[in-house]
Amino acid sequence: MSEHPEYDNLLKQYRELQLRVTRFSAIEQELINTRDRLDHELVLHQRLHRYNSDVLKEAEEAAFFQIEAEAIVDVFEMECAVIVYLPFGDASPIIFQEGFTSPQDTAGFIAEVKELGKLLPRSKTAIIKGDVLNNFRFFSQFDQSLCAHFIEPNLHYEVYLLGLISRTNAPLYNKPQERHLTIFGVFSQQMQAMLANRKRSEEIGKQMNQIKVSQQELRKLSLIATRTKNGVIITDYMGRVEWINDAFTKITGYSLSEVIGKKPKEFLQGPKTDIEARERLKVSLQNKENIEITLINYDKDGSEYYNQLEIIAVFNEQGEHTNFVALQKDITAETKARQEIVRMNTRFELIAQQSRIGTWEWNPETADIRWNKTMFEVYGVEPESELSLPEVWIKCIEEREYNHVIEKINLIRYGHESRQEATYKIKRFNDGAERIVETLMVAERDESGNLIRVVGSTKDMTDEITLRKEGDAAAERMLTLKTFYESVLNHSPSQKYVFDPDGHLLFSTEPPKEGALWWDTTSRRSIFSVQQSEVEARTWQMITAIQQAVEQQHVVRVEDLSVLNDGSPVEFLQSIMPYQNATGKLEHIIITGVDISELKKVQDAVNRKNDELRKINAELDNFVYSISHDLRSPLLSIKGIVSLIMHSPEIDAKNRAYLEMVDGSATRLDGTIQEILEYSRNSRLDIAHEAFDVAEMVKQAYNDLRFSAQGQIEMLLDIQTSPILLSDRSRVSVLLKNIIGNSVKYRRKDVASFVKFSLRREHGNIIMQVSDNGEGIDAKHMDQIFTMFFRGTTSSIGTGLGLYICKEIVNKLNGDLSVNSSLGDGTTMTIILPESTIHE
Amino acid sequence: MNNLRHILLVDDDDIFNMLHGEVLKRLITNITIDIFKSGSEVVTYLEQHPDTPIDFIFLDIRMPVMGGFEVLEAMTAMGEDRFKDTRIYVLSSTLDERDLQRAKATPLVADFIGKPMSFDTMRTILAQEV
Repeated sequence: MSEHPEYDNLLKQYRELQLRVTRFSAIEQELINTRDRLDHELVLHQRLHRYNSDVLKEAEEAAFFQIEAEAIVDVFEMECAVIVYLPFGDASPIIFQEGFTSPQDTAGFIAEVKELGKLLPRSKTAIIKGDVLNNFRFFSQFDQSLCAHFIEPNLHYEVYLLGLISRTNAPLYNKPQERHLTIFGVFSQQMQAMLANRKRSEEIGKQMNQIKVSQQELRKLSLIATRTKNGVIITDYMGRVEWINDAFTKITGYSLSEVIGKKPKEFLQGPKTDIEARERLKVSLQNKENIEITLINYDKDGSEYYNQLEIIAVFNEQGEHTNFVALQKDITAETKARQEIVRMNTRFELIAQQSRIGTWEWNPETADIRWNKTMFEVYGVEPESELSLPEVWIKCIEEREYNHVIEKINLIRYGHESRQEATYKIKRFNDGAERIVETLMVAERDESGNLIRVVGSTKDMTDEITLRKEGDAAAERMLTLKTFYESVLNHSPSQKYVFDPDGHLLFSTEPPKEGALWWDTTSRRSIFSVQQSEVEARTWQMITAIQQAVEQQHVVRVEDLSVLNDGSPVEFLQSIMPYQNATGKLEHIIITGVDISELKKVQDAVNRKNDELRKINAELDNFVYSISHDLRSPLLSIKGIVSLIMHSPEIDAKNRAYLEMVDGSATRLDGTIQEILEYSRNSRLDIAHEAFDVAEMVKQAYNDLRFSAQGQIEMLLDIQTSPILLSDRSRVSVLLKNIIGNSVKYRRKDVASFVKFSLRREHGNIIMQVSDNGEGIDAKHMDQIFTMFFRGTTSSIGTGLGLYICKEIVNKLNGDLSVNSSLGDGTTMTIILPESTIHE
Repeated sequence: MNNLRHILLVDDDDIFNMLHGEVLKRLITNITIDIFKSGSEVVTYLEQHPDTPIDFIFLDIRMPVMGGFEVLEAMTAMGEDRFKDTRIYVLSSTLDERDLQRAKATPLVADFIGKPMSFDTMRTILAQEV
């Protein structure tokens, strides 16, 4: 081989070139590698960035850790990843994994993770290789690992991050390089920051929540303080008022502006506030102790009230005393009520005494018995006596009653009964009198039902039971009477209906079998709702009459014609009474229907008889007149003839005397006839009232008599009132004729005679007086002058019937006839007649 | 009293007619007395002598067939003017108040006189003459 001079040179150059190429290609390779590495890093950053933006959006902490674990696998191209969140203290760690099988021994695993962490620089990242991992139980199968660890001392936790590649699968994965480590460090720092943010904001949220809750509670509390009926005062640590609620203002009358900055004792306490209570309060406040106390306080008006006060000292979290809160309750009402109860107890005892009710209490445990005063009286024991009450009581109970009473007591004592009553006989202690007592026993038990004591009342019922027996007998008699009267009502011939004011039937007697009811007793209708067209004429007549009775408020009677079931006519007298109570309010309408058919028949018969009698009487009257006329005619003709003879001049004195005797006899006989007629008429005829002029009657009587009077007698009239009388004309006429006739007959011949008639009215009576200055009546005859056929003198012209008839007439007219006379001085006859007002 | 008086006496009782006639005659000097024993008689007379002046009529009430009141009715029927110068007295021994009332209620009747008519009564009647 020939050596080219340049060969060596060329070769040298070629080699150098070759070297350069190799170097270039190495550089180029280096460049490519670098570019690739940069590209890869970029990709890692991009992935990381994506994960970070994902994880930021995540609200859930578990999801946050999970995404971070996934990021370790995906971004750093690890086979699997583990994140251990380890809070300080006792809280349990939390393990998140991606592609890693969670170990069962968590504690052991955590301990190994912590050991692994110790290999790392503090808060740093490192690549730990298989030879090291081989020493760890849970990590021996791994070939490569990326480890990071960070601690948050303020937030009280630490976190371990592990990316792992197993030995088995190591050929399939890139080995973690320095560049991985850098980005993993970034990743770890970012995660630390994000987690810290999360934790802080969580903390803030919790605090916010707590604040919110506290605010709500505060609001509730202040609401309670505001709304409570109890007064609330809040003071500062010195006891000066900072706030009061409305109730306090209501109780005391003070508003906040009036009391702010003042101490409550300055305006609440007053003269009656108990000094001891004040002192206690003062000491408690000084010692900043809670206290409950009741004392008299004064409101703004100066009125005292009972204040139940509770004061609470309030301390802040640092244990510094900041406030007092005082709750005050106006217990005046309760206090008063309690006082009232005491008073009432006294009163009840008084009532028990007054109503003679014995009260007692008995403690079965101690056998202690207490009696009130009445109990001692009931059992006849002196309250001051030293006797044992249980013994007295047992001794007094009637032997036969004893078991019965004890049985009742045992029902309360052992049988859990709450009350028992017993009536039993006792023999009174002092006098041995047998009495009946009524006892009520009431158990007083505590909350668990144990008997504390038995209380009760005892009353001596002896007198009342006697009375009650009498009352029962009276009630029985009433019932018998009621039944009796009901049967009387039902068997009485009258039908009775009772309606209420609205016209509804309340009661009716049993309807008669014969029929003839005017109202259907089964009808529930009001009689006032009935139309005329609905009922028979008879019922309508009744309804109309009932309305009339109600309107006029007095009894209305109706003659009610009907027909019985058998067709025979019947007549009722229906009496409708609107029954009003004392105030005039209509309460009932009572209708009584009496069958007057029989009565009617009898009445008709009586009327017929009366008519007949009247006719007969009239005939008899005419007959008597005719007889008297016929008797008188010849008598009067005798008188006429005698008179004629006496007027003859040829009559001598002796014959004249005889004639006068004849005339006298005839006159007497005539008088007798007249008087018998008058007597007959007075006794026989009914009184017939009519109006007539008594003055005219007197004048007529006087005129008629004047002709028979031999010599003069003057008639005087003294009439101060209307001479028109309403009386029995013919009787008064007979009366006056007789009396005036007497004045004329018995006039004195030696003086100027007069007869005076006077008339006046007094108290509804007619008073007629006939006085004369005639002979008068001898006092010894006074009580006989009105007797039949009495004649005062043998020389008298009368028959002895005149005044008797007068007396009879006055009696018949319900009047009075009296005489006042003295012999020689004249007579006054007084006739008193009731003046009738009935025009017949 | 001297001028002629024409008087009618009406009574079924002869004794009263005689008595009353005597009384009148003794008291009145110039007199014509006509006596009727029944109501119908006097009515017939009055009907037949419508223009005869009459001074007094004394009329009994209770007479058979035609009583005094029926006579008075018949007289009333003869017209107001017939008895304007005649004084009519009713005479009776009746005690019946109703008769008295009825007599007084009759316008023609001057008065009622109880029997027997006495001298005093007649004097009084004559004294009342205008």
